[in-house]
Amino acid sequence: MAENTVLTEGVYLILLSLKKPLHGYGIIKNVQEKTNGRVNLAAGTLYGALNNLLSRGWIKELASEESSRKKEYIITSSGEDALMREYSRLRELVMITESILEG
Amino acid sequence: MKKKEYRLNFIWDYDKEEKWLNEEAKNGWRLTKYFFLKYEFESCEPGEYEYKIQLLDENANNPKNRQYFSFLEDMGINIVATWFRWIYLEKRADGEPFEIFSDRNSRLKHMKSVLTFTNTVGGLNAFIGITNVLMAIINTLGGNSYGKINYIGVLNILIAVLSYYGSKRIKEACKDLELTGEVEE
Repeated sequence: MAENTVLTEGVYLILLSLKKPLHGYGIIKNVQEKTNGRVNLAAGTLYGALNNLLSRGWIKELASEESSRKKEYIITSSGEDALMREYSRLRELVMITESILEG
Repeated sequence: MKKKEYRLNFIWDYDKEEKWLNEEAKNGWRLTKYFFLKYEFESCEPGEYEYKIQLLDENANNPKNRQYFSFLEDMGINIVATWFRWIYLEKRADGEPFEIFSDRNSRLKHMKSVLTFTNTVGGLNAFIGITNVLMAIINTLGGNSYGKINYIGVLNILIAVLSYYGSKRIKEACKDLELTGEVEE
């Protein structure tokens, strides 16, 4: 992955949500809650994003417990790296904006 | 209470078909089955359910889709009917608008696969239709008795023409999405 990749808002929030293990519905609820209902991930979009992140190795499936059919996901260390790169990019944008608006 | 409705919906008008199903649901009719032209409904509370139609990459009965289907079911989305690569999805209304795609990229990708499908159907019908009609004309000129008007061929051409306009409409919608994509995610 190129160092200057820009993540979509959806992917960024999914990665952030997966700092703790969650299944699909849990991710949707978490993103809704954190953004006060502004971002609503739809099932098809989330499914596509999860498969994409799995194939990049940014998240992984947790070995599912016998009792639950639902798959849980968690971020991997390369996922953390991608998340941190995006975080610094966003911080940089905020800092530039502040320096101009408040300078 | 149950009812059956027969209705011809073209693939390129899947959004209009969706709208129609949602209107039926608002009037208290819940889709229970779909096969070719036949829609079966049973009564429900008005506005209790919402519908979406999705075109998959493979036939709905392909094992590759199993994982997606159980993912949808976990989200409280019901797969009411499947038709080749199409699936009819139902969700209990919860105040949030029922969407399958929530960002521009995934919406555009889906729309483009509907466009490809429409063009394939259109092209195939145009080819079969024109071949049939030409054969009929050639046979007529040759004084052959096969030269009666070829209704099936004419029907094929009609479908091809309709698909052309459907394809044009979807292409414009794709273009709109692409334009906003130049400034928005």
